[in-house]
Amino acid sequence: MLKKIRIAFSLLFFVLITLFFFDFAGWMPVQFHVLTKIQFIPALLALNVGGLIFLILTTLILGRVYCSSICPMGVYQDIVAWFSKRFNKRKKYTFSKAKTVLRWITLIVVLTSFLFGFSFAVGLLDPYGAYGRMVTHLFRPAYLLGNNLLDNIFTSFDNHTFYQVSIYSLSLFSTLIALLTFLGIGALAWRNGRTYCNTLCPVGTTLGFLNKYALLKLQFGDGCGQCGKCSRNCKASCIDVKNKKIDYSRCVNCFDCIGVCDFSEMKYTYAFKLKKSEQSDKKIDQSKRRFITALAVTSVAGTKIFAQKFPLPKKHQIKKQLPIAPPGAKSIEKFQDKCISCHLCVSKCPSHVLKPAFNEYGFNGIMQPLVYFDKGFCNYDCTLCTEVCPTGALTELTKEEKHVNQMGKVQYVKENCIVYEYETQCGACSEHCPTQAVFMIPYKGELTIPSTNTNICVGCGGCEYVCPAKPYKAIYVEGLKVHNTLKFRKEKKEEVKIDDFGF
Amino acid sequence: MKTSGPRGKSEADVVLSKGLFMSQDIVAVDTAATNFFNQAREMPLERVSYLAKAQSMKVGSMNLDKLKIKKIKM
Repeated sequence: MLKKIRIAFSLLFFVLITLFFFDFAGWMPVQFHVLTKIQFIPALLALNVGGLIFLILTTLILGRVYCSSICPMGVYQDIVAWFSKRFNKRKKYTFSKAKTVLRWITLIVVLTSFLFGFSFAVGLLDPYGAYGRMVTHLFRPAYLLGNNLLDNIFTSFDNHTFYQVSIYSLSLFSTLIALLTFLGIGALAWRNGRTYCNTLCPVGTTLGFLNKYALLKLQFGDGCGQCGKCSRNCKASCIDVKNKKIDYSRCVNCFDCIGVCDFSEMKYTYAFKLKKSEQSDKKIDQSKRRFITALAVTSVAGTKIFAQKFPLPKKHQIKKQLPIAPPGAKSIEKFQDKCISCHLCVSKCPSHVLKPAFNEYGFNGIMQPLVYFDKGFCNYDCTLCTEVCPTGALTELTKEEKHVNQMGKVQYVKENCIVYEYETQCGACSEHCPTQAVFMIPYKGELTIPSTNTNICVGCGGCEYVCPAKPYKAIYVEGLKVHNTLKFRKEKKEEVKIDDFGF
Repeated sequence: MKTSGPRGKSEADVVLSKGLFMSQDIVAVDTAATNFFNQAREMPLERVSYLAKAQSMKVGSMNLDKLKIKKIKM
């Protein structure tokens, strides 16, 4: 019964979070972002006190239910393990010693590197962020492909329920990391169940520690004959039947053991009924650590070599000095400290202006999203990314706040402009500018040419996106270290009364 | 819309004029509308150069005086 409740909750959280990432048509209300805001590391980074209290209390009362139900990465591993069991009916888990030292060293390394401003490690190992990248870069493209196939089929029958969406790779590096996470954690889950949760995951280590003090715990009954069936079905490998002991730092409260026990001798009851005896094993699997370090180093170095661009021989090539941090970032520094690269904003942006960075923010900011204008420009009235961000890396902005938020500054390159080069009429940049930071001034004869006022530019990139100049744009947005709040002179609305026909 | 079209930046860019033009002659209706717009912002017929071009191609007429026009005020 408990297992069924656990599975129902797990699937509910997992499906809703995944669909929230998938949804491109806006049929899921934005309020579903609460599911991402109660994820442990996002709640911690956002200093979401309510969310943290909820998570810590549930852990102290019910045990590590976060790991078994709320965390999408945990559920992903359970799904893989379930398939692995379908595949090999005789699959057995065995009790293994706790990797206590590895766990705590990983946690301490993640924590200290974070405190020293190196947030990449948190972003890489946070289970929610890692799952978000898997969805954004692997599952979502597949979902969009399915949508397009359905559209093809339905449209051929004159049914227009679906519409085509474009599918493209946002970032090779992030896709690669997502793929490595998917395969790596997937392979561990296929072989040994919850290995990731109980070795590398910083949340798993923290909640595992709290779990030792949980009110309700799984316990052996007095009549247990030590047949070991529970241990063979424990995907956390935490049941030591010989000594009738459960390692609570690793137990994720999946309740599988209760279900398989033929004698109902595995019970979920109050902890004070438990005899006090806990021990930890001190043994680190050095080879695994070496493997993981080597994997991280080669994957970073390898892609960096591949990504070196070949310089194009043209005078007025645009090179942005700074990346544009998304709206609500406030400053690159604050944004970088809090962003775990879950890419929820990347998935949700309706204008497709967010993509994971490669080296634009520097090594530390690898995979953190930046604003780019190849596929569209930032909608003046849209605040969606700031609303869904679970970690507070993007502070929520109202529409009015966004209208005065300067995330970048316009730069005009006259030599690239088609009005200058071909003496033809244009002005597309000015037509798209929501604040008239780009405006047209008289040029030769009837021609007008763009001019800019960076003091009222919001950095939306409308001008950069529409600029027809090739191969290099004549107008682009340069990023800012710190976002500015703009002041606009209030324009007086001229009262024009038209009473006459005029002809 | 007087300026900053088509995006616009504030309410100051627009005038609520409440006019409606209907005609079978597309050149005539644009000529009338240009004259009407001229009241909100200066817009002589010469500036809207396609009107004269269309007339010379016999798409329609710019000579509003020769047409039967009903002007209704509500």
